[in-house]
Amino acid sequence: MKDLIKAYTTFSPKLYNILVVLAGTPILALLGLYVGFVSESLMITMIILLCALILVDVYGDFFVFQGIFSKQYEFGILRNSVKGEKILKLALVGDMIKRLLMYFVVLFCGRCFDRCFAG
Amino acid sequence: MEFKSCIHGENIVKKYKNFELNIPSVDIPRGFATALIGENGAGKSTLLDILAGIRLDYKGNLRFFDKFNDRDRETNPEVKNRIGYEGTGNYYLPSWTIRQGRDIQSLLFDSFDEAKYRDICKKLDVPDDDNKKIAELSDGNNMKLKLAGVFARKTDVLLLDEPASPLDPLMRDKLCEMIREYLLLDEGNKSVLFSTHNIADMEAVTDYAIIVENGTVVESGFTEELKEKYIIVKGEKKDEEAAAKVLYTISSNNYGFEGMALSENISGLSGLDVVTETPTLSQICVAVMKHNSKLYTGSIL
Repeated sequence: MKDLIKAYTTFSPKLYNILVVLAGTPILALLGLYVGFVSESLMITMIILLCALILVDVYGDFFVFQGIFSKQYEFGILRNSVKGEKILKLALVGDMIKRLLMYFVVLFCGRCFDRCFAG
Repeated sequence: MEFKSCIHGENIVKKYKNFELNIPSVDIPRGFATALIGENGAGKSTLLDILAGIRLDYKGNLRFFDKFNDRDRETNPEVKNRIGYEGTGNYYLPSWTIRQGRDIQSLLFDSFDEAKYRDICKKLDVPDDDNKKIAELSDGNNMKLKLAGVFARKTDVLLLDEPASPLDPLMRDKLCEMIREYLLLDEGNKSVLFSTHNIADMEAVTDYAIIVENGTVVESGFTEELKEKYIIVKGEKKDEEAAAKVLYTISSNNYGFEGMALSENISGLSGLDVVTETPTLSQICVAVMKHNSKLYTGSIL
């Protein structure tokens, strides 16, 4: 777990983690609450939230692992270690878990408020 | 001079669209600093990448430390951990900061000594700003950072791709000193292979030279042996034509000529009014490169 967190933080800039993960998730959760409050349809709430999350993910893809898929990057330092592939895998898993948690928190907020409002 | 190899390569072939690296045999001597010399596009970086395992799409056999092959290098951590590699270009991810560069090295390499790394960075005057992007550093500081990383690990062989190119003369001298100190560790079992264009600056630390031209090794040997093998010949204009038949390379002006000959052929110059000198490694390399180059050697302008 320690390696997973360290691998993820190595590949993701600190600023991205502060802005998107720590600040973005509560903002999107509040958006979920607001949309859930004003919308009469759960489906509309979920679609709006999913669109917002996809936008954040596009932004995230730009910042996390930035440049790793470019043709010019030949994985120099990663190929120089037998652990390179493992560390990259851990970082990708870390990124997936982070996204899953973000989706869960945001969609859960939207769903909860929608239920409260409907109830 | 006989020596033990720390890396031995046989029949190494790597084909590109317009270039082929084809090396029947190459040895990197153990306990010495080896310079890999050649003109741009000769295949130096490709060879280093193949030896380090950065490129795996090649044919041929490699032997590391007398007992491991290239498959072991990729599967046995013992082999890869003993090889320190510093590459040109995008060695680090472009977005990484100095902190991230340090963190990734501590994750990737078991023998990475963070305290030693910080100490080397400090001694080499690398900017002390963890949040600064590596890509924003000057080429010289970028290289210093890479060198600090590779010297802060416990390795048995260092493969350095153009380490001197972006460095200023003072830092090049420091690099020679660092290589010498590294070679003294572990009772002569450490080896260094570096590619370079700055032959004159790195000559002080070069024990063995491998000259690569058009994708193949055209000359190799210990510096002192090469200095005995070749000889510089200077003479007057009147003897130029006769000397040209014996000389390996020749250049002339209105007053005379200067060229390089194989010492074994020097008897062919008897009777001519010539002066001979022992060449420097730089002069030998230029002559060998000139002899084998596809570059037009006549007047260009």
